[in-house]
Amino acid sequence: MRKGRLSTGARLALGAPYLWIALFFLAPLALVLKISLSMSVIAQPPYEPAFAFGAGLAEWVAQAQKFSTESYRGLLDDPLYLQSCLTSLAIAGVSTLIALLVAYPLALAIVRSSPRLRPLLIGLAVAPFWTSFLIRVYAWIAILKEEGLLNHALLALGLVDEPLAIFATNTAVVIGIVYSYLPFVILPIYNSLERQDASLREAAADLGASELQTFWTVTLPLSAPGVVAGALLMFIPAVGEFVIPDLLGGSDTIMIGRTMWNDFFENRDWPTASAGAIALLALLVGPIVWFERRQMREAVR
Amino acid sequence: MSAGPALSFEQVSKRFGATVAVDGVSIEIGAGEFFALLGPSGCGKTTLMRIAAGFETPDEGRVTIGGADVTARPPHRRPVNMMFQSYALFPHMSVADNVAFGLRREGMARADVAARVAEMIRLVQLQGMETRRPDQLSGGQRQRAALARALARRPRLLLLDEPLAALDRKLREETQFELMDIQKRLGTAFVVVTHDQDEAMAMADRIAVMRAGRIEQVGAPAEIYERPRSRFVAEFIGEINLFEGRVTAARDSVAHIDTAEGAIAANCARAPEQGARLAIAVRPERMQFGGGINSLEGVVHDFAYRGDRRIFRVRLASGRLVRLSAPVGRDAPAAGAQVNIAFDPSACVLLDA
Repeated sequence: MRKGRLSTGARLALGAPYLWIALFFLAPLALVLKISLSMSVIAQPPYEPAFAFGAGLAEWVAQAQKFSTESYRGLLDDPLYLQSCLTSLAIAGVSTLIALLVAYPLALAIVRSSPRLRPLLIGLAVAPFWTSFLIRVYAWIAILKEEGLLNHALLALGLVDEPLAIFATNTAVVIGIVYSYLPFVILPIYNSLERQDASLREAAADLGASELQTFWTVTLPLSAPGVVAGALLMFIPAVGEFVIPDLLGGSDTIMIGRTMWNDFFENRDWPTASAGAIALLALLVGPIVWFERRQMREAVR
Repeated sequence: MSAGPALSFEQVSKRFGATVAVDGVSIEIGAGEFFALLGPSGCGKTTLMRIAAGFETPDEGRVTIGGADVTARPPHRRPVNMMFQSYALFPHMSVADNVAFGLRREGMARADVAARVAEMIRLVQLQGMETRRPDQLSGGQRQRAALARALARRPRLLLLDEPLAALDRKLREETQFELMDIQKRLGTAFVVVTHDQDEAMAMADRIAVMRAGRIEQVGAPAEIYERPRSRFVAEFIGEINLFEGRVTAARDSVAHIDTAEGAIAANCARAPEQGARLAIAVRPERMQFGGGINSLEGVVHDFAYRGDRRIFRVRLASGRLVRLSAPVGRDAPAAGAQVNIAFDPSACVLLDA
């Protein structure tokens, strides 16, 4: 093989991931982008311009001139979008923070457990995935509702005098999101902790650091990439989460996913919903790109 | 500061499950001494060092540092520092921050920390590397950074776990001399764990040879090399020829021993019992071509050129190979040549067979 030349097989192998991304990410994204630039009409499909196959290039160009950014301006004018976007960011943010506080000690405990026990503990951490996501969220309804398991237990123990109103509140949504995404946070943190050289902790102790000082000065900073990865892995999908707020939230829990769903299916306003999706994507891509760049720089060093 | 040995083990034992890693070890290491724990892998030397650092707790026995009993003290409360085999430099900190780590834990004032870090950087000649991260350093530089970090708190005792193992050969030799130099300048007691006998012989004031959790022999390098106390020590340190036989007579501090290679006369401090089975150990450089008191016939099998000398392997009439080391330059026999080799009774060390 000459330098700089790749065999056909190697080219195909390298191209496959790009093809995958093009087919299943970029193509749908382009469609959504196109719809977001269209106008809502009562028709089938419920927007125009529509590009008919075989209509000819001239017709297509004529149609393309009808594109407008009106839907995006509509987003800014509509307080509902802004409000639900802020609610989503807040709920996802709080959930991510709580999940980090729960996941970090768990990951640390798994890493510090005996090597024989570790696969079992990791298995337990991802065990919920063996049941349908929807069923698990429904189970939380049974736990959190007014006549649910949690309230029964609290009343029986005499910890509360009257049932707590958790179900159908933002609190229930946060609980559901933390529960559902916890494994996604545990795994990257576990991974980064597991790769740490055990002699680093011994070196810190040898140099006079107590257990706590060792944690703050060595263990935690070295696990930062895992923490950031876990946080992003949870925060990004949690912002757009639809099922959990729909099932566990109340009528006042309006997250961005719900708002878009309403526009798509109830108002049949596809362009506005698409514009919302594109705007949300743009909002979330920023941090990912920043993180990836940072990772790359770390890797180069 | 209390007087007493820099480090002492008193009847220290440590078991891991069914294996006894350290078995009733007692050693005293003096202030300012350069001490080496030498032995093959699995002999317990690393465990013994980790007991001194506090990473392992002995099942039995006492450990003192500077006269104070530290047996139950956790690592971060011991007046001892360690240089790890992997160096264990903190990858997220600069060289300067690594060196300052231990000082900051002590709560030392900022200006003092900066001054001490600069002093340590100078000591190990890492000037200009202060802001680099460990992964931006070469292997030798990392070794120096680890040394600077371990010495920053001015411990009276420094433990070094295979300090030269990760360096290539040329650098290893240079670094040996540097370590000796730094040790002498600071007056810190150094305890080096190594499996490399050359390294231990070159650097240490005293060596403890370990085997299966026990100390086989403690002594100065020359003493251990010339007067090994057991077959294990004789064979582990350097190259040696062993002849086994039975004592036929012993008088005037000379023992006569009947071996498969013939009768051999050997000097002995204490006359062995007649009829006792013994092994005679002779270093290759104590053997010469030519006649003498203990003279054996053989044929040169082959030889290896070592620059200043040649190592000959000579097959004796009994069929066994012995090694003989001779300076280059004399008219040396060629392979296949019939030769006589001889060695003085004073070259012989008598060991239990």
